[in-house]
Amino acid sequence: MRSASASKVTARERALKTLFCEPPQAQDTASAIKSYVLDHLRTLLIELEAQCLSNGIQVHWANNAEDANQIIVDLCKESAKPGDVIVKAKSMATEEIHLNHHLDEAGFETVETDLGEFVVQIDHDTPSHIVTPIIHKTRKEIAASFSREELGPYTEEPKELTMQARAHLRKKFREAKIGISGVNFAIASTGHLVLVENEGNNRFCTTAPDVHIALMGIEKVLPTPAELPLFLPLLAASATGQLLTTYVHFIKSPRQERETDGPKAIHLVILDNGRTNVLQGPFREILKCIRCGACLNVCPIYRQASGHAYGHVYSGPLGEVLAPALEGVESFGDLAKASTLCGACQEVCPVKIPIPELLLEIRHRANSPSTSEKLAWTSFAQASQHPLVWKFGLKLLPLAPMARHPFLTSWLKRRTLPTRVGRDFRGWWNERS
Amino acid sequence: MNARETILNSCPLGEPTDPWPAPYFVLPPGSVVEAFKTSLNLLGARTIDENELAGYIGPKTWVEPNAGLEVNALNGFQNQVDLWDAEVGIASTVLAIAQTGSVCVKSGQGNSRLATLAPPINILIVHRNKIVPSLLEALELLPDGNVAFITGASRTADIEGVLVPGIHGPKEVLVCLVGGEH
Repeated sequence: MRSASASKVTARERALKTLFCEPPQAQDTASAIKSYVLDHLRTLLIELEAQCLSNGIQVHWANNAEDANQIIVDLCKESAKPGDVIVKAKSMATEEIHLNHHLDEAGFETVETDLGEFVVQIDHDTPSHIVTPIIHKTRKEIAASFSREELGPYTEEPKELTMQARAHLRKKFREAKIGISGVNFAIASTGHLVLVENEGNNRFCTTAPDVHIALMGIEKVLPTPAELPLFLPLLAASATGQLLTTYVHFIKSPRQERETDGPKAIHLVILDNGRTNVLQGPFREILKCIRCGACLNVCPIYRQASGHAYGHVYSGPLGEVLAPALEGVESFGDLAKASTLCGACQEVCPVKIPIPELLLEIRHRANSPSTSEKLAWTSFAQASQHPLVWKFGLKLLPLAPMARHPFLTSWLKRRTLPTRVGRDFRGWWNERS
Repeated sequence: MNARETILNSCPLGEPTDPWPAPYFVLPPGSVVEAFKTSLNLLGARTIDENELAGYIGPKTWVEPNAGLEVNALNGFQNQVDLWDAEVGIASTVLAIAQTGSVCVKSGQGNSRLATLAPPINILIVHRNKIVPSLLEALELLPDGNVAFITGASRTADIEGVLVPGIHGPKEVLVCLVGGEH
């Protein structure tokens, strides 16, 4: 995983130099445009809504995850019945509101169609990276999952595994009644929904089914198409080191009279879910984020810990700020400690979010340590000052893995205790002399 | 208050501000046609001549009606295959971008979105005089309606970072350059 991250970092630098005379100037401009967006959000959203409506795209507003799930499930029930296939393109916003769970509960067959997300889904796993969701899995593990799901003869060849997924998912695209996607950029002046991807599953999801539902956070709006020559390559370069993603879709309207395919209805669901609170608080800069994942790839902590360790949909430096910003420093403030404050994230950020500064602010605001944590440190301090207690504690140490205290078991859910090797120093010393 | 008003009331209206400086792109040297070919090469997308098109015509070829009108080799061709089952898809494009090796396809007037997506081999017909230097010009000329930029073959690197073309869309993209440069 570490080498995968490192190669993306080099590819990013190379792509930016190929594209822009002065990459830092491009980053500064993108940051300024995103500041403008946050400062004019109401105006831009009203314009976007009006344009979408006049283009025939229906607009829905959701205050929180619950409302968004309700709106989407209701829309699905209008055009599909339980058991019908709903195809999904990769979208962090749908991950954020845990949409799949709600669609499954309503009885639909929800199919993730991004290869990585598909593997995550059949394994009942969670993504470990916002751009490359199965960076934590080996080809052997994927081969085992595919053969378990009977997608084809057992193979560990990435190419053959990919072709098995292609054949399986192609059938789903053909069957699907509804396609669900996210939105990378929504253009206020024209009402375009701009979606980027490499695989083509997004294009299938937004073309083959009769209904397309798109979910976007309020911060995804851009003033005009003139901002895209900057943002499209900046996003591609920062995410994967490409000059441009394989596909960029400009979705303007449902199927028109002279079109032979495309959805007959498009719904845009605009999601707040804590963002307006963030907008008015000290962490507003994080709303500039375009979800490229560059800060994850470059982060020394993420590279060691991987995405699951963060315990939130958004991982890496971006998640360390966004999770507590959206859900409160009380519940996720601890994440801000998972940083060396080295500043690499801010340097690579395409919109120059001052992540280290925001992390310090979160640390400052986060609650004081919990009672159990305080107790643990006090006991440690006491023990280290009293040799007898310390020695006794050391004798007990080999028993530690057997402890079944609920606090310890919950703590150990995401951690592995190191195995004790050898013996205690004092015993060894006494025997030696 | 409904969700729309709650959200909008919590968002600032904002004041007019100065325009931001345009980003300076590194422009490809030489002619846009040559630069476009170089970019395609880097993407692994081959360029073919108009007279090579005939070699791709068969019962499992799907030709977009518009593509046939513009190119001699395709005139009079009748589609006999369902688009979902086609092995070769030939489609027309409205723009191409030298800097990135992208083409712009527009849905409508006989142009189908699936034509550039479902068949494993995709041939895109590009007029030499429709190639622009960079994304700046392409976005200025962005056609109305549902359009897409396509840059090379469908691809994934999800399994151990190994690049595999053709995960969902075409495994191979060929570009057929037609017409004069000006």
